[in-house]
Amino acid sequence: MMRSRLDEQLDRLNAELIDMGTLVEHAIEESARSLSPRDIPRAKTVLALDRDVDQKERDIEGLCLKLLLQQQPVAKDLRFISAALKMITDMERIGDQAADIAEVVTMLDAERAVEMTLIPEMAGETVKMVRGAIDAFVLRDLTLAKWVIDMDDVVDALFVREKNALIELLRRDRNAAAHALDLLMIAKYLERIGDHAANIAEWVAFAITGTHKE
Amino acid sequence: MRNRIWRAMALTALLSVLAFGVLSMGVLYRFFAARTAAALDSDLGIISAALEGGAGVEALARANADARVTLVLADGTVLFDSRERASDMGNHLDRPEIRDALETGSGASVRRSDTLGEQTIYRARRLRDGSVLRVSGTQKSVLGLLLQILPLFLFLIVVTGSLSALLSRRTTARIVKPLNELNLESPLDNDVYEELSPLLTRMHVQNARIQGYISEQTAQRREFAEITRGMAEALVLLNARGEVLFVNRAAEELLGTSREQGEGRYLLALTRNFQIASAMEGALAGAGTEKDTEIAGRRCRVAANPVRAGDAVTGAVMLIHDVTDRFLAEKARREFTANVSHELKTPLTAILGYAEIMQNGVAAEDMLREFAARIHEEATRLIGLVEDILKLSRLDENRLPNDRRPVSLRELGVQAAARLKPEADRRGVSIAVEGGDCPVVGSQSVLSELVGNLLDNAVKYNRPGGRAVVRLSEFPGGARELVVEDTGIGISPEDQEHVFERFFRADRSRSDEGGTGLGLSIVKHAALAHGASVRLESEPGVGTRVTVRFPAKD
Repeated sequence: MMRSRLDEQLDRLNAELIDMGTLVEHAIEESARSLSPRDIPRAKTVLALDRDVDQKERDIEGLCLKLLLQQQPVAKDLRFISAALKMITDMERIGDQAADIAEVVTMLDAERAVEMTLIPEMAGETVKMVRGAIDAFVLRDLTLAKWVIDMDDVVDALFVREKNALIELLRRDRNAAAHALDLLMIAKYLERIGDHAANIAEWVAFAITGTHKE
Repeated sequence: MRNRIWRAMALTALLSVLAFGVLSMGVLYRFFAARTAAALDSDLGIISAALEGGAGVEALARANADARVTLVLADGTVLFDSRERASDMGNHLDRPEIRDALETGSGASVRRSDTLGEQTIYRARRLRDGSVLRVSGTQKSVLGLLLQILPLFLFLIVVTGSLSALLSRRTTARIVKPLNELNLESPLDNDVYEELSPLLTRMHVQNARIQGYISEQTAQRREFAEITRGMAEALVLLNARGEVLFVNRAAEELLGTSREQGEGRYLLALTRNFQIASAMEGALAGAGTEKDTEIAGRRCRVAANPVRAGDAVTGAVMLIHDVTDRFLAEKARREFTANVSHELKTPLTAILGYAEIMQNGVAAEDMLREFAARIHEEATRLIGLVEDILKLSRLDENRLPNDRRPVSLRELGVQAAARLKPEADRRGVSIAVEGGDCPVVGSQSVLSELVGNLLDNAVKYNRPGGRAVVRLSEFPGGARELVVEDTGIGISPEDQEHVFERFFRADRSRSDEGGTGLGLSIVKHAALAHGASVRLESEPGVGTRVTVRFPAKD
């Protein structure tokens, strides 16, 4: 059976999305690893990764538009392509925020860098969410996608706890203000990454079922 | 195809209908024309005979209602006409049939009449009185005939068209049905019309050829899988799109997939390891790429190389091998080198210091002697250290001294006890050697080192008034056990697992005991070289027991 040109291009789109997922997952993993113990060289590699992620987004966007215009896909294929267009935006944002975290890591107060409150735990959960979202896409796994969407609440709750921990830190030590602000930024970035991972999971669910959560 | 057959059939039918129509019309026309002419001729004969016999022309014309009768005088004036008034008609001399009749006695002509599709046939004869009698009748021309037949013709065309459509559909179905039901697996077994048999024969040949290719390919694949099954490295073959063409067994384990499931899938759908991804990307872009990565807690080296056909990259070969052991060995070697340098530097720094003081001449005469003694002591320690390192490196390389023979462990214990007696006395530690002769086959020098090091530790890390015991046991079957026990300071549980490591000292503050930190390491390697196992039990503040068990020599 000859593979049609549409099938071939859809396969390529799928592969490209997995590529981008791999990149983004690696970026956030490396970002999280550079947090504790603080690892500036590692953080700098993440900054370089962000450019690759951006390039990939443009490539995939071009491929999607070409597919839409030349093949005029319908039903499932159309759903897949429109989900892809939405997913790359979220993945690109995750890449950006991983780079943002890396940048804050390079500027953290060296003397206080050991004091990370709940950040490592939050980072760990966020990485799990991103990995789960990409896995859900690769395996077309609806259960996993739903798990990721539910996980968002866990990360949101961790953000609130982190905020309280930072308030506590400031109460104890007024000189820790700069450090606390840095940590708050990292926590916010992580929380946003969790949101984007949940978005990706929602688009995966849409590509599978055809309904998107409001 | 059905349309083409229908068209051919319909065209044939149409052509035959048309041809039949044209031919039959020609024949019919001639027949009718001849009949009309014959009827006119006989009318003309009868009427002229009657006229010449004295009959009235009007009565004759009335009797012959089908034909038009005209009587023309020799000067061309119309005397009578059965259809029109004679006075209204012009001179008829210019009519060819009249002219011919006047000249030769009879004339004939055919003229198209005013009505479409009809023609008029004229026959004329000169009567005896010089006038001319003309009889004429109308007859349908070819066009007239055609017009009359046309509806029938159209009806025939429609009937044959639809009949041929029906028939062509049936025929096509009859041709196609056996084609659709062909058994392609064994084309020669089909029972179909004979026109298909050349095709079926060719199919049979082609089938055999394809089967040959497939079985050859399958055999090659199986052979390849067998060959690569034993490989410790994971082998992955990829096509130009990064899809898996082949994985060997090690790769199946590494990627957590089976060959059947994994093949044809995009590699990164199986693993999203970033280093594997970049190695793949590099190789597919045409450059051999090597990356180090961690997979499931093991350090792995990923090597990917492009497969080329001409200038184009058609795929990639990826080898992933576990380099954990090599990585750990390299790490241990680096640490060992760092430790050795450190351990060598400490006594040398002391020696250098004393030597400098002596050289400057700032030390008093009686101090010089003490400094010399210190230098001697440090140098002795240095030599001891170097000797230990040499022993260890020999044991590392499994280079046992070539003096294997039966050795009495008891004798070695007694010798070591005697050697350590002064030291033990100084520390108030008593030494005892218990048990039987305990002979083992081995290197006396290495075993002596083993017993000596253990007893040395038991004496040094003891408390005043403590005991150090060497206990020997023989087991039925030939196994031997050497236990060295003390009542000393003991080793904390977290340190126990490290005591056999090189340069490890449980208590850094006691490095002045003169040990090199290599003693237990030598014990372990000496025991391993003799196939013996070493077990250490210790409780801080209570004492330590080291058990060396020599297995039975089959």
